[in-house]
Amino acid sequence: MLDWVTGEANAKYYVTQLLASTIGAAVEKTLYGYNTTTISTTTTIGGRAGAGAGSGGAPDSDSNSAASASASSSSPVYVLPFRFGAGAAAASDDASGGGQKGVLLVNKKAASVALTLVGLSSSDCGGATTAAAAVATIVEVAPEFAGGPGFQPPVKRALSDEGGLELGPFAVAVVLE
Amino acid sequence: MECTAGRVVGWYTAGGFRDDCGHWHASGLKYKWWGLSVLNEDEHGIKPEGGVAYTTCFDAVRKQLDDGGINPTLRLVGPEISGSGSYPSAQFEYLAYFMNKSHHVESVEPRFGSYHVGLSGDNASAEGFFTQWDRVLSGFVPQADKLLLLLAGNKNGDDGNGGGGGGGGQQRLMLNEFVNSVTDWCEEEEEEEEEEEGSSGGGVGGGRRSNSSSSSTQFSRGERGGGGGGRGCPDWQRPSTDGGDPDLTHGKGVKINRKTWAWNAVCWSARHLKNQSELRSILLLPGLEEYMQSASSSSSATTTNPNLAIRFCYSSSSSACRPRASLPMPSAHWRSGTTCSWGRTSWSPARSRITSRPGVQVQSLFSTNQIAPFFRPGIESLFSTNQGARFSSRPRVQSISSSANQIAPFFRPWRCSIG
Repeated sequence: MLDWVTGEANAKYYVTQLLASTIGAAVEKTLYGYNTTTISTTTTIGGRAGAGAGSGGAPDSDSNSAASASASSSSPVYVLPFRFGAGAAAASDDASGGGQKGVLLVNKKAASVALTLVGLSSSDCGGATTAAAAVATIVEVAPEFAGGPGFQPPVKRALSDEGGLELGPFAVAVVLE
Repeated sequence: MECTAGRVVGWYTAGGFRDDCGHWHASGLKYKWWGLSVLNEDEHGIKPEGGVAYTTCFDAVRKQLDDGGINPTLRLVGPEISGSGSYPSAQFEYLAYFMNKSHHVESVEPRFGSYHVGLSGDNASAEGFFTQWDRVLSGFVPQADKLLLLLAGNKNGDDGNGGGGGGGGQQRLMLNEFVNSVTDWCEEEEEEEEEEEGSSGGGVGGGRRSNSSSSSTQFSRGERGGGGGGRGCPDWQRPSTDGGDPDLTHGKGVKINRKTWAWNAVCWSARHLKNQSELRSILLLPGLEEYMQSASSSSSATTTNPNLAIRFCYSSSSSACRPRASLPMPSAHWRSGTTCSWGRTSWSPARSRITSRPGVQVQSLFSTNQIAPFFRPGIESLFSTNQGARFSSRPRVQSISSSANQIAPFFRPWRCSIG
């Protein structure tokens, strides 16, 4: 986790730090199912049961319901939508009574993957009244990182207008609205 | 063996123990352990194999604790099988033998069964961390579910809900050791790097599989850290691998591999939280049934049980998620902005945190493939029971005390590692 000569942290450290600083609070979380649709190298993810509308449909829909434990084994991305309980510090005024929404993402491949997340706030399209875009904090392999691919600190990326998000190889990301 | 186990348990939970001469050795310790894991894996291949000898020992320990009045309420866990979660496999059969109450004295059913999963990968095979685990999920775990159902009397091994239900009876299984081994964690000599980089053409992760020619095989489970012939990675148990200076901070020995992609790949831990079906055989947590019950009637599941919340909680400083007799959470240090440096360590049950003792140095501590053992609880807590997360980065020491360190981190083998 640490370079024993320089003391620099690597991905193992950063991922733990990421989880601790985001979903690490003791506040109650509610977990949700999700649907994924893989189109070429782009994966669309839609939450269920409150985390947003499902994307549904072909060509390769992976309904990650409670009853399909291994359905997403072949999926290039692991997804865990969640919502903090009302006690969360960043709780929203959502009508459902829940708190801040988020998604945990893990890219299982040694290649970048482009995602489209449905059900989270995307970036402002020019309107001044839209909600702030969800932001992903990402720990990923950065082949060109001067300090070594496994040593890049976390980076932040806001979702695009369409909810798009690019994840680098073996990325672990927490998206918070 | 059962007498030794009885003395250890007595020492820590019953205020002491009485030796064979009738003398009472007082400890003053009365820890309320959730349970005790009996032995670790079958590292010595005790005969007769296949779980037969182990089951005999297990029952003897239980009798010692029960009849001896040492700690009749302590839950016993076994058999801590090793391997990579393969099915079919001899290890699975070992587990199945142990879980069958007809093999136990007076047909007393073992309440808790345990298994381990060790995965490995390097710069070129980092995706294997995912595929290996997926294989466990699609092979071993459903079969483990089915085993519990069959043992509970369901001849079809079907819970009626389209999947295993963790057993229709009282028996439960837990995964209480999960080891992701980065086999190319150390760096080769510079001249070898350049040569290899030049010939690899840059492949995955920059093309260099530091130490890959030897470590992939030498650092297989049970052998990792061995180094074998040639230079190998530093091994805290083998001074000859330290480059002539056991203080790794001097950089005389092999350095960390800063290019491997495997660092990232091993960080996929939260994969396990995918859904309640996967939780069935993987996690054993107080309140899990409650959680699953709510999950069965909805696509979502909620629990306020703090023991379940531990899966999300890396800070043990919060009373709401403080593990019970569980692991120290070094992230408590990180959160406060301090550095969690490792010297000789101690563990305070009251504070549930690691503190290091300045001035006491553990040399070569970072020499095993986990590099930083204090990272592991953060990962393993996701896979283990809240009571069972453990430090297990020093395999040879594991065999001495792993059964205890699952329960009481203060019993971790730091003493051995320093010695």
